[in-house]
Amino acid sequence: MAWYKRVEIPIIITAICALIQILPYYFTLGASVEDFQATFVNWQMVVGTGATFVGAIAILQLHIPRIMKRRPQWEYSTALVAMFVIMLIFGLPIRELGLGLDNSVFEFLYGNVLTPLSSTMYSIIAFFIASAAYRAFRARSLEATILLVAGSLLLLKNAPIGTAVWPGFGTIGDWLFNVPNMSTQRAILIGGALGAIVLGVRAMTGYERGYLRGGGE
Amino acid sequence: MLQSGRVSGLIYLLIVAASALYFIKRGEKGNIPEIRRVSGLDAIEEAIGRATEMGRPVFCSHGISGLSDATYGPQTIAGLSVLNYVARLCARYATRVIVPVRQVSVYPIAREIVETAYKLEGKPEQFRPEDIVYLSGFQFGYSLGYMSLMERERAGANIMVGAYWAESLQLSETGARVGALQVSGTANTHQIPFFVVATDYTLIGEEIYAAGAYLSKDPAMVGSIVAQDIGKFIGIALIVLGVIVGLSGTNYIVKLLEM
Repeated sequence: MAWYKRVEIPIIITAICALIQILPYYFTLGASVEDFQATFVNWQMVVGTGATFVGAIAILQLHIPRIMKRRPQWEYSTALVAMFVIMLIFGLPIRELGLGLDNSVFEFLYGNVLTPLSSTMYSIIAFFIASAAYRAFRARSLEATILLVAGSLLLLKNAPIGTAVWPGFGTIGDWLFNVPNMSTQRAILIGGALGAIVLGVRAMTGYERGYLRGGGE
Repeated sequence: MLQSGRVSGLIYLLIVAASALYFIKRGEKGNIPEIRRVSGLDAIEEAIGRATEMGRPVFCSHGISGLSDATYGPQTIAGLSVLNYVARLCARYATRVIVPVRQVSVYPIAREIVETAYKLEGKPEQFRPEDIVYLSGFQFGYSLGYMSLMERERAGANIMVGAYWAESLQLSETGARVGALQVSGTANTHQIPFFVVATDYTLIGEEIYAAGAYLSKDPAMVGSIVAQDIGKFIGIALIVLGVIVGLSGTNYIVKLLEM
C-alpha cells in the first residue's frame, strides 16, 4: 500500500490537530503558539469552504441523472437544480455586474422563498410534538405515568390558566424544572463529557477507527 | 505557564485520559471488563434484520454537526462509528443503506465508510453511491429531505446517532409513521426527550460515545469504557465531599476546583 493511503496518516493528523487545540487551553505557550493555533483555525475554515464544492457536486450528481432519466418525481429535481443555478449565479460576489448577497433577485429568493420555507418547517414541530405527546402520555408503565404526571404539571405551570386556577402549579412546576430535571440534565452532561474525553483518547491513539474508511482496516 | 482556573480541570482530564490508556492496555492483554448491555446498540442488528426481511432500506444518519466543533464533533465521530457497523451489516445482508448527510465535510467520509464496508464484505458491486445523499446545508432543508426520503423509500429501520437539534422530532416521528424500527442517540440533552418518546431505543449521552467500542467488541476499546466510570466516581466523590464540606460552612472544595 502506498504510504499516503496508510490509515496511520489521518490518525497522526488528528492527534497533532487535537493537541494544538488542547494545549493552549491549559498552558500559556506564548504568542507564536497562539498565532499558530489561530492559523490552524483559519486552515480549517479554508478546508471547510473548499468542501462546499463537494456538496454542490454531490447534489448535481444525484439530481441531474434523475432528470435525464425521467425517474419518479424528476420534476422536483428540476426545480431544485433550477433554484441552485439561479441562487449560484445571482449570489456570485461580482459587484461590477450587480451580483452578490445584496443582489435584488438573490435577496428576494432568500427572503421570500428560503426563509418562509425554513420557518414553516420549524413551526410544524408543534404538530409533531402533539402526536409524540399523544404516544408518550399513555400511562402504560410506571415511567410513562411519571412522565405523564410531570408533563401535565409543567403544562399547567406554563399555561396561563394553570397558575390562574391555582398558583401552586407554578411552584411545583419550578421545582420539577429546577431540581429533578436540572440534576438529571447535569448528570447526562457529565457522563457525556467523560464519554467525549475517552472517545478523544481512543481517536488520538488510533484505537477508535470506526469513523475512518472501513473501520481503518 | 498553567492557565489560571484550569488546573483542576487539567488534573481531572489527565486522570481520565491516563485511566483510559491503562484500561486499553489491560484490555489488550486480555483483561476484558464486564460492561452492561446497552439495549439500543444490541437492537441495531435486530433493526437491520427486520428491514432485510421486509425488503426495505435501512436509514443511518450521524447528526447534523460537522467534525470540527469541540462539543458536537465527537458526537459525529460516534455516529460515523455506528455507520461503519451498520454499513457492514447491511452489506452482509444485502440490504440497502441510505445515509442522509447535512455537512459537506462529512459527506466524503460517510461515502468512504459505506463503500469500504461493501468491499470488505466482498460485495463492492452492491454499493450504490447515490444512497449516500447530501441533502442540504440548511437544517430544515435537510430535515425535509430526510423525511421525504423515508416516506418515499418506506424505511424499514432508522438509526440516528449523533448531534441533533430541532429536527430530531420531525425525523423520529416520520420514522414511526412509516413503521421503521428506530434506534436513536444523542448527547444533546434538550433533544433526548424527543427521541425517548418517538423512537424504539434511545442511547443517552455517554452511551453514544461508547458505541464504537461496544459494537467493535475490541478488547482494548471495551477496556477504555471503564475510564468513564472512574471519571464518574471522582465526580460523585467531589459532589458528596463538596456537600459535606459546604454544610460545615467552608468552601475548600469550590476553591480547589477554581484552581
